[in-house]
Amino acid sequence: MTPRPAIRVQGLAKTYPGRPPVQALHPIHFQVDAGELTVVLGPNGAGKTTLFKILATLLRPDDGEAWVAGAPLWEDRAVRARIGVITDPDRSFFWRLDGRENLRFFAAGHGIRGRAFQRRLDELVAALGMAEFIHRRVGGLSSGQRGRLALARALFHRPDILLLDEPTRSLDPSAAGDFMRLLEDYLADQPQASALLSTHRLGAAAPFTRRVLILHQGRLLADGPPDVLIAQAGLPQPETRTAALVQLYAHFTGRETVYGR
Amino acid sequence: MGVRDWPAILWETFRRDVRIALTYRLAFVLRFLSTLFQVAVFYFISKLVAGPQPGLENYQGGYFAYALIGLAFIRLFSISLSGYAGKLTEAQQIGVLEAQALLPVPLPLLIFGSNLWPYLYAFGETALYLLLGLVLGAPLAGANAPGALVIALLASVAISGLGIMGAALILAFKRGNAVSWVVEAAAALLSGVYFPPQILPQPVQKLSLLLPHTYALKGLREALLNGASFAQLTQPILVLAGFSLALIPLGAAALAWALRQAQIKGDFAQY
Repeated sequence: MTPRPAIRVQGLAKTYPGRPPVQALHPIHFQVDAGELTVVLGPNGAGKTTLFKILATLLRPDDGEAWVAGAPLWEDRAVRARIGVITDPDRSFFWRLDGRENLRFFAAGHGIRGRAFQRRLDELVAALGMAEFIHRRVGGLSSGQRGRLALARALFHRPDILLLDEPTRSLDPSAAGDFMRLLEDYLADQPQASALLSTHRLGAAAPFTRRVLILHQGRLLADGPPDVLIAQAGLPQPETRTAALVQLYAHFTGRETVYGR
Repeated sequence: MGVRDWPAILWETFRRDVRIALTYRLAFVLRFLSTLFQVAVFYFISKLVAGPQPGLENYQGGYFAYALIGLAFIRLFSISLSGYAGKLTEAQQIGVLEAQALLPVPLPLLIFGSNLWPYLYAFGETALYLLLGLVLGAPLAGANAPGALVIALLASVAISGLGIMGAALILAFKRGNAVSWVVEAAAALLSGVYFPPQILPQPVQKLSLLLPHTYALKGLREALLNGASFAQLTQPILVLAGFSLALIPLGAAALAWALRQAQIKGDFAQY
């Protein structure tokens, strides 16, 4: 029996109303299988955030349909119960509260309270190395610490799908690498979980990227494992995974990126 | 996550806001002082307008007692009118609205929950106003407190209908607060917060009948200053219940529409 795809997207399209209207996403089709970490690449304005917001039920598509962890987008609460999302780690917390209190509020929104909350908190504090700052106000945390807290919030309810829109945006290269390792550990522990991650930090993402989607000007230009895409595009086989992503990015978008960031 | 989880969600939202409020302790002291000064101002103004005044003859206690009730309850009504929009804007500004919208609970429930602490705080302030008034001689000893509570709660619900419409405008057009300001200013002028509507020109007086505030304040004064029984409070209670039945569904429909619009435009978290 073929396993149910984690995410199935069929012809999703989005045009933002306005004068003039902006077509952010032309109809796209793709599928993410259970257990996959799929990296979405593309320059600013490529449609990545639009795609993530649609899959997270924050934005309504004009056309097409998608199923997230088996639930159609219109069943928005069912989708939200099964996804963990990171959009803006710096601005999505109550800064006057400490990390624990923030997680307590968001966990309650998923029905996790009391002892179940404390057990899960202890697990995540240990797994993500948050012991030194979990009782500090979020306003006083570094971007890296907030990034970990955002990951803890996204993982708290053990979601089937992680939607991570530039989660390493404000992290230094070392912290971005740590973040990616923590993410891969989670996916290793939860074999049925999948992640869709957008990033401009190709160096941090490359070691973990088995599959890549490249978006440009609202169109999905490439979808597949990096080495396969390199071969299909007739590009020379690069020496490192990072170089492969850099080549693919430049080839499909016509833009250079900074090697190794 | 079903309906039976909602009380827990509301409790966590309330608890969160209390903890945030406790990080601004000086604000409590300043609000207390502000209440004290405001009551004192109206106490001394009442010395200037001592003696029979038009519209005051129906209530015991003269102008000070009249103004005290207006002052005590207008802040509470203001939470119903502007609190939802204010909390929504605050969540947009600090960036937590989107994170909350990602929870598998209805967003209106969270918006309602975020107004619970302001309500409790405003109830406390109302009690403080009345206590200070009592100390300064307002005739509250024979008050029908349960009657006043029923009217205050019904008025809060009715005015919430307008407040939820204001929140919907914030979501849809990003600038809905101005409408709440206009309604609040109109209520201050027309509904008898600071002076009896009877002294307004006749055509303007008729406008005051469109505001739930007018019936609420009239009923509250009857209950608190004259000790009116529930039977004597029937008219304001029925009118406020009618306002509630009309305005709450309208507010809910407006909010649902605004949420849809925000999801179409993609400006859900923008302000």
